[in-house]
Amino acid sequence: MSDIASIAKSVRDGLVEAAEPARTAVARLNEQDGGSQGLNAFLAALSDAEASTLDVPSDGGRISGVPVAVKDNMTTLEFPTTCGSRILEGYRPPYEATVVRRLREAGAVIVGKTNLDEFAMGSSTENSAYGPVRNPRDLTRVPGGSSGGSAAAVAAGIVPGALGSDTGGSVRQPASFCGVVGLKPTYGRVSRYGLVAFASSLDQVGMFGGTVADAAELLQAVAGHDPRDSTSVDRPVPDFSQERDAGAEGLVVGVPAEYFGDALEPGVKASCQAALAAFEASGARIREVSLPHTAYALSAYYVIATAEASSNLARFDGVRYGVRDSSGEDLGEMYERTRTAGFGREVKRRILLGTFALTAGYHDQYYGRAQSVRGLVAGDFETVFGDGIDVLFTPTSPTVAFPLGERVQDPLQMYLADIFTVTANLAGLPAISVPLGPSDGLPVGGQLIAPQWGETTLFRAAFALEAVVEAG
Amino acid sequence: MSISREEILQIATLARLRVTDAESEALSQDLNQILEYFDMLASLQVPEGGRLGLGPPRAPEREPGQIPPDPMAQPPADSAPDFREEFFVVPSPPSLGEADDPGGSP
Repeated sequence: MSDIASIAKSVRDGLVEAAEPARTAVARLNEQDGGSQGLNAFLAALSDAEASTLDVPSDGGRISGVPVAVKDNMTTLEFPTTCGSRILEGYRPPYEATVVRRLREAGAVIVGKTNLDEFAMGSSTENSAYGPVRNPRDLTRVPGGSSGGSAAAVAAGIVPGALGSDTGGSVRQPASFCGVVGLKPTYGRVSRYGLVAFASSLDQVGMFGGTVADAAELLQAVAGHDPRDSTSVDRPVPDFSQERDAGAEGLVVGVPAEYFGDALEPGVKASCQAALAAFEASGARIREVSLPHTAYALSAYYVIATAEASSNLARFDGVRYGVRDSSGEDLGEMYERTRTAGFGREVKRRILLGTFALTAGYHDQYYGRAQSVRGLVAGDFETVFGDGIDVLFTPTSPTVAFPLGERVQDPLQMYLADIFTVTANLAGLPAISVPLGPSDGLPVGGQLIAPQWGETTLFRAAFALEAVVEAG
Repeated sequence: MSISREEILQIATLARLRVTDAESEALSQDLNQILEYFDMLASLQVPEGGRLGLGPPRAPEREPGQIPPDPMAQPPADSAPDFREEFFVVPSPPSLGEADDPGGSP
């Protein structure tokens, strides 16, 4: 499939009928997504009949006629919103997410909702109640998670762009595993209104694209203040591609030593080192830096995220949303039966972990400590960015995509897949995963991290990195 | 730190979840493995009075004297229910047969 800007231009210039790209996307989805060996990337999509009667204006906006997929934890009026959970099976929200509305207003066509780890809790998209997603680059491997359906849909060429959500790396890590671009904006850059909350202080809507330019186009369409989300910030939205052609000359790239330790697979390390060498050859100045509290970040992240999740998911009790098991004798029994039948194993595990971390006897030991570490991690970033570093470069994930089923029985090993991505969420920073050279034929992602509100610099570095990797 | 099966059952009650004996055994193993990893937090020296968490997103940047736009899509009073004769107006229950009063009764 063509890139987003080319599709929109063809539609605006009248070279392509406005609904045609969406019909093509639906046809590709039907070819690749179903059956026992299909990707299983979509939980709901336009039917052939709906696609054939689509009425799309050709002058709809910046991304006119562009087919986009949306992770199924963002509310939509035309499709159910399940969050990959039995407890929300068939649930149709009465309102749509701000990001979905802004996509439509910019001319995009939402072709479907993508599969995910239940309530975005996972790193492989094997925790969905509707079955695992397969990686289009190797159908025996996971696509990463939790936004694995969106990553797979873009990697398979079904859509040129998709939305995901990133609480601890859930856009960047699947982008790395599937060989596409994945962006997490600064916390507060994009509205969370209509994004079903997992961990509210960490959640942020992110974007997938086949190229850096595609991710920038989607961010441009959805960014900006929203009075319906008190954590969205009223700041001007810049042109994120304004430094597209600036190159790497003079860019100061920090390389934190803590991200290149023993946990890193040799093939991933080699890809990162090759990319850094090419970056330097194109004019970037590479400096080794230290982020000394990195080792504590994963623990702090999982304490905070599960604590917030235990509170956020208390609302799913059979009263207001989704399914209800009313076979019990009283209200309390109805709550318990509904939640026990509706939530999957990983969600229950995280609710219990978060409830435990917040109990009176353990609050200071876990939650209080984790909040202190969060402050220290944010301070580490402020120190290096205050010392002349423009962007940081790290591997996105310590490994390439692992085989389906390999880690699903070992939650700690699964959590370790997020070890390089959680820091940007703890500090609220923008970060992007860009495909590097492969390792044994499997995609590898390199992560760039910028200061808060530094998306323009982040994109400058990402465009430059993408160019040197393609040239190499 | 370790967590016992009894504690898991207690936490499950707080979280409004039912856990069978077999599940509590498996959960106890999983959670203890995870908590053992989390215990590294205890080994970190945290400075007294250090920063806690991240804080809220930064406030909007505005020119001096600039008045921010009203963040509400509509004034709160517009969302309030009708009020008549010291009562809120609510729809009539169908059983009372007031179908000719679509505006409801106080």
